[in-house]
Amino acid sequence: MTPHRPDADLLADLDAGVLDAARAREVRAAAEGDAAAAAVLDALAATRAELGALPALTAPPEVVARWSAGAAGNAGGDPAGHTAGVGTGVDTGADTGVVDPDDAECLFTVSEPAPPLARTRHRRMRPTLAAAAVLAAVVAGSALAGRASVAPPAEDGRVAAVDLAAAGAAAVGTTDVGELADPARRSGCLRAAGIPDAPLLGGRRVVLEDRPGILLVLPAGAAGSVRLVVVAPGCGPEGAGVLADTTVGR
Amino acid sequence: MGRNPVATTSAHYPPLVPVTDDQLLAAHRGGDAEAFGELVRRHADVLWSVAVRVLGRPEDAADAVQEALLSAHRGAATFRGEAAVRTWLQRIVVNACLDRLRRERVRPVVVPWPRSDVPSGRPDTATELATRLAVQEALAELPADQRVAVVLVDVQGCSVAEAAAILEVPAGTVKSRCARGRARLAVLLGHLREEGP
Repeated sequence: MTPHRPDADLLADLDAGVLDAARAREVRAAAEGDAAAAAVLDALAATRAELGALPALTAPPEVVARWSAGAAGNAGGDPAGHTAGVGTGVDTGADTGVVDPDDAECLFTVSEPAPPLARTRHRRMRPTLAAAAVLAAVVAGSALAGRASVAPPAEDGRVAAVDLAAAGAAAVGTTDVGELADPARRSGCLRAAGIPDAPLLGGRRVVLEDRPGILLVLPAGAAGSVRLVVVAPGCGPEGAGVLADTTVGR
Repeated sequence: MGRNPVATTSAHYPPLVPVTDDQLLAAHRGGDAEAFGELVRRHADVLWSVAVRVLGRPEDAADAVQEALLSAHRGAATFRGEAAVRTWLQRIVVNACLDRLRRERVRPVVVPWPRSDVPSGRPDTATELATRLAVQEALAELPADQRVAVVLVDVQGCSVAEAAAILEVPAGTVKSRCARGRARLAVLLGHLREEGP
């Protein structure tokens, strides 16, 4: 039996792997040495190549911000699917002054009325987790862009200015901040430094460019950002030395 | 400040452990107000790409993804982890795009040059030249299901298995839709002459 020349649709099925093995062998045999069939297969390959060559798209920042605001504005809903309070909250080790979830400032700006008391219980915020994600993204982005060595701080706490994001990421959830573990002293320190008081997302003692300091990771008050501040060890209400102050995130 | 001895620090620095998508989604379900936004930012580019390539118009894509993300935000409790979070998000975006196409019955951006207008002389060559379309306009001419399959597999680089998971159809269905879509695109892009009746 002379095999019929396969049409374009059948060849497209062959090309896409639609045909079972036996049928694929038949069609391939029929196409063997047929210039028209070869032209179809070449055309399909060229089409796939052209599709694959379409440039990767980057979502415009203002569009992403709109999406995030839309989700945050929907935050009054109950993503856990129940109305009772949930059991989990942030293990804050409250005596160290790490953020009290009920007082935590959102990393997003949420424009909505205060929720009713009955729902407040399960709106526990976990800013340490999100802050870690923000800083991890910054560090990863820096690594991809070749902009910084993103090694975490050395064992002796030495940090270069360009590694501040990495140091901040490593500090999230820790509270090695010496006297600034006292919330009152820390508030006074930030006030003296002209920095708005904010819940502490993490901190550790560091040596920044040969100067000892205390790295504080704070919410930045803008969607998806954190503020990294390094203050001198004696920082308090009576005075503050700010060694570094930077906001990272998107 | 002067040079001081090295400040005392913890000898142990907690390892920089990336937060996974599953952890962020769990945090969101647990009431974390920021976790979902972080998921959005992580996957913004791929969700944007899918929507723009399927719908063709950036403004439509922005709206479709926003609708999808609101749906995902509210419906996170129903996600049972049977697929990757990224797959789940793409699925919701694709469905939002398909809903939009059905509602609005979007017409192709470019109408092919009708055969009756082909200049005299060598109609086949003229038709080939006249009907060569930019890839994005050509995609807009495909039926929605073929367009989505081709966007996922050939543009976004998903495997057939990934595309099948996103679309919740068998792998063979993805392959078949890709085959039909590519055959049509090959003509629209001028790589293949349309077979006559």
